[in-house]
Amino acid sequence: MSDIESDNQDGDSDEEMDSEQEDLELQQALKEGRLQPGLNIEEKPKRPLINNKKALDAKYTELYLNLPWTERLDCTNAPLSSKDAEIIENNEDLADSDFKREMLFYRQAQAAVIDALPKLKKANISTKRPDDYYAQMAKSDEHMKKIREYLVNRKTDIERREKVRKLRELRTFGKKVQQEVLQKRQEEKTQLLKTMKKIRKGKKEGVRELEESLGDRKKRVMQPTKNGKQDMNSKKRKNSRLEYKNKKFGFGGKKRNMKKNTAESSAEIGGKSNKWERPSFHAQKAKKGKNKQARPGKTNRQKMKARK
Amino acid sequence: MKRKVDSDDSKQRKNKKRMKNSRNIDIDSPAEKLSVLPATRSSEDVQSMKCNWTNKQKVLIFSTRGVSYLARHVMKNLRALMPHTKSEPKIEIRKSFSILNEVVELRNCNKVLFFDMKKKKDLYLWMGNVPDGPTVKFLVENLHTMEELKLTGNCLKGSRPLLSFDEKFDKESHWKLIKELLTQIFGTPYHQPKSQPFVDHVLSFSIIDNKIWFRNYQIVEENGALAEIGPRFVLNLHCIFEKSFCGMLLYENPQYIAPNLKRRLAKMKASQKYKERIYSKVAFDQTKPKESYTYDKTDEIFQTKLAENAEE
Repeated sequence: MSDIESDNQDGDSDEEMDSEQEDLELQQALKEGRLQPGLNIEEKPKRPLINNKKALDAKYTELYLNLPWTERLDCTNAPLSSKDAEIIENNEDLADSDFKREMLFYRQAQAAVIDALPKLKKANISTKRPDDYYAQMAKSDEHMKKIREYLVNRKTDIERREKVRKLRELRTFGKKVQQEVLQKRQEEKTQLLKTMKKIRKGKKEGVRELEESLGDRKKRVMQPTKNGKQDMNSKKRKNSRLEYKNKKFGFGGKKRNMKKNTAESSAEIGGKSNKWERPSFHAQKAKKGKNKQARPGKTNRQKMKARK
Repeated sequence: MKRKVDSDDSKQRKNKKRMKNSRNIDIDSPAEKLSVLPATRSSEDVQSMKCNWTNKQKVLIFSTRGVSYLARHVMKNLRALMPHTKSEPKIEIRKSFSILNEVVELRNCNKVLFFDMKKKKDLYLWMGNVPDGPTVKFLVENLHTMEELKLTGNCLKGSRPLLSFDEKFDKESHWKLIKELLTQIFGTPYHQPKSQPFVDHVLSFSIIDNKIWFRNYQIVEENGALAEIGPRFVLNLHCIFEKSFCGMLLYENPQYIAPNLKRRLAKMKASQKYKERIYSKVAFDQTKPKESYTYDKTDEIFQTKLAENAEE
């Protein structure tokens, strides 16, 4: 008993003392230049560790319960050998790699099952409960339901993620294509500019080149393509809503730049500075008078009648 | 008055008679039902004792005060899996573990699984054979409860498990001793009254990295298809004592590092970066040259003072 007490209680205080001593040692080591960053000093155990094999064996024989196997149900076996035999061989990284480790445990348990089931059958111990045998389970139904929900959710989650990933890939691919097209256009443009320069300088090659490069386009312009739809697609995307409205109400032309000055408007002398400006009061009156077909007054009309 | 009293008495008698009648009915009814077994039965109920229950292992599972929820849940899981266990309220241990022997013996148990938590984070598991040892002390690592893990397996509450051991358990004497102790603690005795008469799960113990890894699998099909149930934990062997919670040390694990020490080493390792920076600063200061570059001292005559300073 005394061993345990001393073991448990003195642990903390010992450690503090140790750390203080160690600090002093470290300081000294640093002064003498023995200590360099990254160098670890290994601690030596205080006393040799106990491994009393004789006593352990004696204890084992004392503890051992000599009962038939049906009472004990213990099996000792190596994990089931299979194609994944390499998994078992690589012993070093087993503790760190989850999958390999779990596989090993699974195989070990499987081996035990395969070993033990025939023995159990021989001893007349049933391994499968009949379907109509209802008893409390280790995990409640509620818990199992939660697990099922979790699994379903995870499955749908994975599917959704895959879908999104595919979409993203498609999008990136589309971007690449677009970039290529833009680059091609840019190249064509530069080529055209070069040839134009040559033409300006009066070189005959330039004209030929221009004709060559424009040849296709000329044809294209001259001969309208059979597939009108393709051209539509290549143009801007059409706004179907707007199209419908135009069809319904008509399109009275662009309203853009309507209020801008033109040559005519600036040439106008006097009068309105702006065609949108309201005419002056007198001008309005004058206009009114002119526009009206003057109906003579009553007395005048009677006089006119009398003349006839 | 007398009459009244009499009437009261008679009432009471009548009541008593009724009570008796009702009791009689109660007593009679199970006798009637005996011929037809009940359709359902709680797994907590005790089955008929007419059986050859020879291996009477009883395990007491309990803990000290101040264990975290994890330990509590794992204890609950173990109790659900092992029908031959009993529970005890948490115990406060100040000085010695020898009280535990008395506690276990009072509950008529001969094996004990005792959880002890230090600093609310280091869980130790004491496994003992109570009257005459040995006791094994483990540090519990990577603890996962049955509820926490999303594992698909399930088994009957209190069915008997198969115990599967790694081959390494037979190679060394301390592992052999521990294996025997594990079989006696985790194996449910045949014909145990609270147990179910089926073997439908496997408890596997394997040694990797000098630690015992515990897994619990359901036997789904006879050909060896399994599904894990949980809980999961890793037992890191610390030491083995000869008697129950006392006696001399039989074995100490040389690879065992106390969690305190482990944390301290990790901290020291983390502080190494800071230390290196400081060292490099000191080294730079020490090796720094005092003069930026050498020059002819006679050149100083060309350094003229400003007019203001010259007057002074």
